[in-house]
Amino acid sequence: MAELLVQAVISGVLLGILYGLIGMGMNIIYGVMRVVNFAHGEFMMLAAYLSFWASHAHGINPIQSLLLTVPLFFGVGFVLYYLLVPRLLQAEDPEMASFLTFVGISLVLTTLILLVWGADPRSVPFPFKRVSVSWGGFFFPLGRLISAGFCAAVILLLILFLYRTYLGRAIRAIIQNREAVAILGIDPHRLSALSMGIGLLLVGLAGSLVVLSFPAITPVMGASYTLVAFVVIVLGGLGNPLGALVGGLVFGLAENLGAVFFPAALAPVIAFLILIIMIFWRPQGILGRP
Amino acid sequence: MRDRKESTPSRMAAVWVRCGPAALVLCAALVPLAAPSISSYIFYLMFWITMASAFNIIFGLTGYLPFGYVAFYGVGAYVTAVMWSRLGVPIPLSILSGGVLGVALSLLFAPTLRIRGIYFAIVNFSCAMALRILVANLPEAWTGGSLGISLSAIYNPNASFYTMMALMVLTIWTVGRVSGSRLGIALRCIREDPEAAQVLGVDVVRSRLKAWILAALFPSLAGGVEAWYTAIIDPDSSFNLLITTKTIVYAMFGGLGTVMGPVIGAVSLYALDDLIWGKFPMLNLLILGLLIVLLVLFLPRGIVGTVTRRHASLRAVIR
Repeated sequence: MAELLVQAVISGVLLGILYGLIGMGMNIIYGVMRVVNFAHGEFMMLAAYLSFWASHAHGINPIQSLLLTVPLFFGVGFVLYYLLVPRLLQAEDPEMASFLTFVGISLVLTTLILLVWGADPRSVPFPFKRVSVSWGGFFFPLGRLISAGFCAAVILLLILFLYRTYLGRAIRAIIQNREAVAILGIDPHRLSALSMGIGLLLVGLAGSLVVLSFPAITPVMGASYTLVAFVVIVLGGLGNPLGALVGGLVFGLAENLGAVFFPAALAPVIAFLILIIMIFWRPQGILGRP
Repeated sequence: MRDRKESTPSRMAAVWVRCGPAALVLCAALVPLAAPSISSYIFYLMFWITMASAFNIIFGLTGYLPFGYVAFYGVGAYVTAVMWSRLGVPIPLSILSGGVLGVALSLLFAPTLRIRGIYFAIVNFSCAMALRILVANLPEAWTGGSLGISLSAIYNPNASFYTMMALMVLTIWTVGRVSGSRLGIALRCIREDPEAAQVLGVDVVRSRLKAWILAALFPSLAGGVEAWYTAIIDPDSSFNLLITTKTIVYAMFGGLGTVMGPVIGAVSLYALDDLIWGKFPMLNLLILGLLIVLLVLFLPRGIVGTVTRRHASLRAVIR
C-alpha cells in the first residue's frame, strides 16, 4: 500500500507540473484580458495532432516538434487577439461574450481536427528506448519525467520573464490594473496581443508535450483538458500566473492519489468535486487573497 | 424616445403576432396526419423551441448561463426510461416524474446560484459532466450502462408528437406570463444589478430560484417526451454537450430576454441545421461554431432584440 501511494505521489507530481503549464496558459489570457478560453483543450489537441503528424509523416519526435508548434501558436494567439478581443471587450458582459465565443472556436477546432485526421484515436509513437527508469525501488515513467522536466524549465523561464523583465512586469501590471498601465504609456492592445500569444504558446507547448504522458489522442479529448485547466486555475486563483503551478501540483496529486482509492472511471468526478468545493469554499484560490 | 403610439403598421403587426402563432400551431397539429414525412422535422423544431424558450428564462431574463443545461434534459430522459422500463409506470406518469426529478436536481444545484458569471457557467458545466459519468456508471440493471434503455414497446410517434406540442405551447405561454409579470421585472433587475435589486426590495434569492426551477422543469419534461419519441436513450446522447450549445445558439440568434426571440431563432436556425446536417454532417458542427462566434461579435441582441431596438414602435407587439 505504501509503495502504491509513493508511486501515486511520483506520478501526481510529474503530471502536476504539466497541469500547471496547462493552467498557466489559460491564466495569463484570463488575467490580462478577462477572456475565458473555453477552447483551451482544443488548441492543445491541435498541437498534439501536429506533433502526431510530424512524427508520423517526417519522423520528428514530439520534443523536436516544439520548434513547429511553439512559434505557430504564438502567431495564432497574436492574430486571434486582434480578430476578436477588442470587439469582445466592448460587449455588455465581456466575460460571458468571450466564453461563448471560445465555445464556438472549440467546436470549429474539433471539427477541423476531425476533418483532417478522422475520428479514430491516433497514437504518437514513443520516442525513447526505455519506458521508465527505476531509482530507489520506484519507477519513473520516462515520458512523463522528460515532459515534466521540460514543463518545469518552461515554467521557470516564464517566472523569470514575468518577474525580471520589463515586458513581463508590464504583463503583471496589466493583470492588476488595465487603466493604470495605459496611463503609464504602455499600449494595452499590443501588450494584450503579446500575452495572448504567450498564452497560446504555452498551450501549444503543453499540447505537444502531453503526448509523452498520454500517447493516445482523439479529436474530442479537448474538453477534458479544458476542464483540467479550469480546475488548476480555480485552485491556484484566477488571474494569478504562479498560482497555476500550485494548482497543477495539488490537482495532479489529488487525481493520482484518488485513483488509488476509487475506481478509474470515477476519476474525472474528483476533478469536478475539487472545482465545486474550491469555488464555494475559497473562490480566490489557494494563494489568492480575498 | 421614438414614437411609442401604435401606428397602423404596428396594429397590423399586432394582429399578425396574435393570430400567426395560433395558425402555425394548428398547421403543425395537422402534420402527423397530412404530411407524416416531415413530422420528425416538426417534432424536433418544437423540441428546440421548448428548450430555447425555457433556457431564456434563466439566461435571457436573469443573466445566469447554465452551461450544463443538458443535465435537465438528460435526467428527464433517464428518469422517464427507468420509471417505465424498470418500474412499469405508465409513460405519462414517467414523463411527469422526469419533470419532478429535474426540479429536484435544480434544487440540488440551487446553492450554485450564489456564484455569478463565469464561475456559475463552469460549475454548472462540471455538474452536468459529473452527472453523465455517474449515470453511465450506475448498475446496468437500472440504467442499461453505456448501451442505454430501449423503449420500443411503447413507440408512439403521434402521441409523443402532440405531447411535445402541448409542452411547447405551455413553455411559450409560461415565458410570456413570466416576462410581463412582477417576477419578470425582478429577474431583469437581478440581471442588471443584484445589489441594487435587493435594495429596491426585490427578493433576489426567491425570484432567481423561481426562474431556475422553471428553467429546469421544461427541459426535463422535454427530455422525457423526446425519449418516448425516439424510443431509445443512452448516456452519450442524453448528456451530449451539443444540446446545451444548440439551445444557447437558438435562443441568442432570436434574441435573449424576449418572448418570441427563442422561437424565431429555433425556427430559422433549425431549418439551416437540418439542411446542413443531412448533406454535410461534419460541416454542421463547424458552422454551428462559426455561428456562435459571429453572433456574439455582430448580433449579440439577436433578431428580435435588434429589430425592436431600431423600431421602438414594434416593441408593443413583439416582446
